[in-house]
Amino acid sequence: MNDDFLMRYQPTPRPEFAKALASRLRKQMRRQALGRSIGAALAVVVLTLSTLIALPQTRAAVLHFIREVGGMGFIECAWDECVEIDASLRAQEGQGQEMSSASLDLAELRAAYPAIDAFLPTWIPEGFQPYDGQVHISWTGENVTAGIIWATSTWPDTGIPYIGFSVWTHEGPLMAIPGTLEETTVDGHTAVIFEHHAGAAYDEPVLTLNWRQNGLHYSLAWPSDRIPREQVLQMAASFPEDDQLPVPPGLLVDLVSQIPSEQE
Amino acid sequence: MDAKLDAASRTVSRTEPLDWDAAYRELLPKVYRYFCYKVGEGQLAEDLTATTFEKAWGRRRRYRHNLGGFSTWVFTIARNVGIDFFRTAKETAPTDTAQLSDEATLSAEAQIAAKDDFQHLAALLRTLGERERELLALRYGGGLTQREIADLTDLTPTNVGVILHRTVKHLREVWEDTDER
Repeated sequence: MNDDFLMRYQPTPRPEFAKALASRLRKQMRRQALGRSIGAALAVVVLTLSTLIALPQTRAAVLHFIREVGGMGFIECAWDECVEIDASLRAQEGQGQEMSSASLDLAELRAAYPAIDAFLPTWIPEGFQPYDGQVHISWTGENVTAGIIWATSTWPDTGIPYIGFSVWTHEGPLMAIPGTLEETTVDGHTAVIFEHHAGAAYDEPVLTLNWRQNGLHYSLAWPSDRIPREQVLQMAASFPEDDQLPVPPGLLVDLVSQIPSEQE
Repeated sequence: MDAKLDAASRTVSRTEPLDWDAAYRELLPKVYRYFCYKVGEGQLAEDLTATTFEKAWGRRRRYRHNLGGFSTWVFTIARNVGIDFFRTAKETAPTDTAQLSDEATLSAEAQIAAKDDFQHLAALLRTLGERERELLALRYGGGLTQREIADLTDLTPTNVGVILHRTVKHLREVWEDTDER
């Protein structure tokens, strides 16, 4: 095939275009990495509890795993008290369960499911907004976690604060990492605050506030030295109660069924 | 197609992620050239290229290493971006599309007159049917093999080869004919 004239047609992208696009993609990857690290940290806690700790026989296996391998402990907080138990983030790896995840457009979700507002706060600190308009959902079986990140307009380029929010379906007790644990309340509900790190790329202390409301688990995570705790507690207290705006218990599970196939 | 890139992407595990910077450097010119073959050089080709990469990078965790090479996956997205663009253009602004086509023809005539090889070829590409232009774009713009093109287009490799051969032969004849004028 005499195609030399075609082989000579090799236009190249402008360097300034290539550089600008590369920069946008790197920012996109950083945002997603941080969103995942927050969501994964919370989801792992949920999955560990709901799939391992809740069952006595599994719990025994987990405790054995901990004794053999060592790892991070948790605090199991019932409605009015917290009791330290043994568990480990590594336990989930030993269990071999795979977590699926996807992102859905918040505006489209609100149009299709007006009740989604039952999962959202009515007050957020000034200057914050959903940074990518996406709801990040992860799930294993019937356990579903939905998360949104609020951020200021200049985040993440400047490291300006973000607030990660997750709500999940598991019916077990509250979870926290011991050591820095504090008990508090959110609009009368028992809550726990604990500190962890968001990941190697964003290695700064993150506080997480967990509480149970409307039959679901709620969680807010934020960089502890950048956002006043009082603001996050005010935000937490603004989530609607179920007597104000009923929360369909199966909504999160329904959302997963709306997620298209992963493969292009 | 870069065999090393795809070999690397096939063998990489989820705990050993792809080198995204290297993948970007490798694929950017190919995807851009693919769109140049589809819509001509310029801002539109850049916009469609950017959309492709933003979608691919945003969905990169969905890429399944066991279902094909990474570059083939990216070109699947590129093709969908192109299809969406042309469908939207037809649905939302048919008169604009027609006008664009007229402008392209006028531009092509001017380009041929200028005897610039690249512009000459771009003008000839606009005379091709949609399928022929798509296959040329994938082969000579994207640098895909006939088998990879077959996987993307649901044609057999033999069909891809025959169509490409006829299309190139036709283009070659027109190319030489217009050069002699």
